[in-house]
Amino acid sequence: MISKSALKAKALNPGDRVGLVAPGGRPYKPSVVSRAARLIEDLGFVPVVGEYVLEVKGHSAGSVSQRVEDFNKFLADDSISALFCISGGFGGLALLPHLDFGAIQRHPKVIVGGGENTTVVLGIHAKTGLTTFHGPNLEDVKTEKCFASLKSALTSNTNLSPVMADTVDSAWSENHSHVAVQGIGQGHLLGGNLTGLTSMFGTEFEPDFDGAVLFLTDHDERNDILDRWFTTIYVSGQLEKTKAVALGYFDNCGNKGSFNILSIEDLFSDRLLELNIPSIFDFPIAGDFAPTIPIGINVSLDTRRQRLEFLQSALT
Amino acid sequence: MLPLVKPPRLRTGDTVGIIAPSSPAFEQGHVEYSFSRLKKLGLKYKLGKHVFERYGDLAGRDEARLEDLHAIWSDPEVNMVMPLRGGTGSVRLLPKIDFDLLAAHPKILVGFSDITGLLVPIHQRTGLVTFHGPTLGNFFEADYTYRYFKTALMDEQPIGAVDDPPEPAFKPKYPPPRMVLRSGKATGQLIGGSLTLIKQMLGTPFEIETAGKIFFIEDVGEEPHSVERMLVQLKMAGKFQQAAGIIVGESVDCKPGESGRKVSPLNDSLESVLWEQLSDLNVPVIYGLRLGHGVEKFTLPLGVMATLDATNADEVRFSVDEVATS
Repeated sequence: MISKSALKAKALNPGDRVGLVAPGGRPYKPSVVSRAARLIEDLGFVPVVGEYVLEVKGHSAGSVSQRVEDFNKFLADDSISALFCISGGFGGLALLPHLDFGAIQRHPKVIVGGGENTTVVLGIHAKTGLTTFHGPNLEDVKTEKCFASLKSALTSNTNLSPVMADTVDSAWSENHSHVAVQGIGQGHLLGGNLTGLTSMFGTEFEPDFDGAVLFLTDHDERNDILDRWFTTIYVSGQLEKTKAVALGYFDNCGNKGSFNILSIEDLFSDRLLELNIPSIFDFPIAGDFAPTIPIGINVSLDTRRQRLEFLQSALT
Repeated sequence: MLPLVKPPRLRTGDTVGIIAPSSPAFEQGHVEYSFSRLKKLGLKYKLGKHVFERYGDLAGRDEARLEDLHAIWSDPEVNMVMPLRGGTGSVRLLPKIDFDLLAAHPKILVGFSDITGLLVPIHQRTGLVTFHGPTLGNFFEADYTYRYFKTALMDEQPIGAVDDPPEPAFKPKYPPPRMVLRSGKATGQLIGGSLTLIKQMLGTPFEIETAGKIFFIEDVGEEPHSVERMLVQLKMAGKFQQAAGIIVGESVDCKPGESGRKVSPLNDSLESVLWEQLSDLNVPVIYGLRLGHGVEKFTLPLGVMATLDATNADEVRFSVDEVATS
């Protein structure tokens, strides 16, 4: 199998300088930024906050050119080892055509983000082959488990420990994962926020699904809209190219005030069953315990054992 | 590109085939009322087998909705196919639609919103002129809508100049937008529909083809940031740059907070999003024509020639220049 991970950054060390950016939404209040900087210090790194992260342009942290300027300044700065996203929100997609991909290739850095920053995380991976990270935006780090995963994923140059669903075989287990199709799929890890991921379709940044282990998550969206985007992946012919699919948490999704909306399990699983792709719902990706996981490296998803195993290291 | 195929004109005494390829009727009584309006037009109707099925927000499983589409479309008694309503679910059917069967029986298909997921693919795959206009549930809701519906489907002449609804019937929730985002004049074939649906089909074999065309979009119940994301994606896919002219229709309930989904505490207005994304194109771009989810909407035939003249911001003209039926 050819690895999709052509380029890897160096594992972070204590004292490394890291850039804090807001590629999409504006951090709602200044304390979101100061807390994010404090989190970075707690991780052992030195935070450098982007110039425009508290600019207000509609819902965004400044104009596209201001957000691009912050991002590219960090990419070009050899003293910066990583870029963290402070907030999620909307707008990362518009940055992609303007990012300095040459700088990434000259000096690969750790890049981590979640929510709709999925566009940035996957877009950079698609253009440069860099192993980027799907993980929490700093404002979403709310539990020690999430913090610990972020730290270990970004500081280790060995294979990460597997992500496992609650395997207690009991009706009382907190998260009873629904397995649509039992099986094992192996391939490069691809995924993130479903709205963000499908907003790259039809563009030069469209991800490579061929042989991928796909994971999808989202939040605050109505299920029928999420079904639209899942349907895009199916109708495009990309779903059938994947080896396995893990559906993560869909926090605060559901009927959103409508009165006749099927569940994500019902809406998505018919296509997964038809294509007979090993697949599992409520896999612990995103949510409060969101693990930080690398995009592009080879993984194995075993839906029967409810286990995602990393077969390569993500950093050098 | 496939040669354009115009479906036979709708005539008094014709039979309308009714299907539900997306969501079910809100209430069955609404449908009964629609039937009486068809009769007033001198039309007969025939129902798909599964029209009243329900599976959550879908009018039955994919197989049932697909079966009705194929059966009603190929029924020799049926002259026009009319969905009950949009909603959600049309795109789910696309990989299994038998486009050769549809092409073998050219007939009128009219609808909007989620039905864009049929109008654009069927037009592009078969060359058939399909009609972006009201569904069964709302063709009679306003005199304006009804008048253009009849003109587009039943007249021997082209629709011609499209006017605004007359003032007394004109009851917008707030002053209607009327903006020229970029002045100019363009002529081309019509293509377009619901922005959400057009976005949903990007990157699939049914992706919209806009090159050299007058490209219209509209949406309902989307936050400005969501409209922005869709416009950015379409732009990154080159869909606006290739078009000859762009019409953004009236977009109902697209003010911040009106969707009830992913509401942001900070927002741009829809107008400023449109201005930012579309005013730097090299083609005429206007906003505000009545072709969307408002009660008043005119019917647009996909594939026929139309002219957008926004040379003078005070006097925007839009006309459908070619007859859409045979």
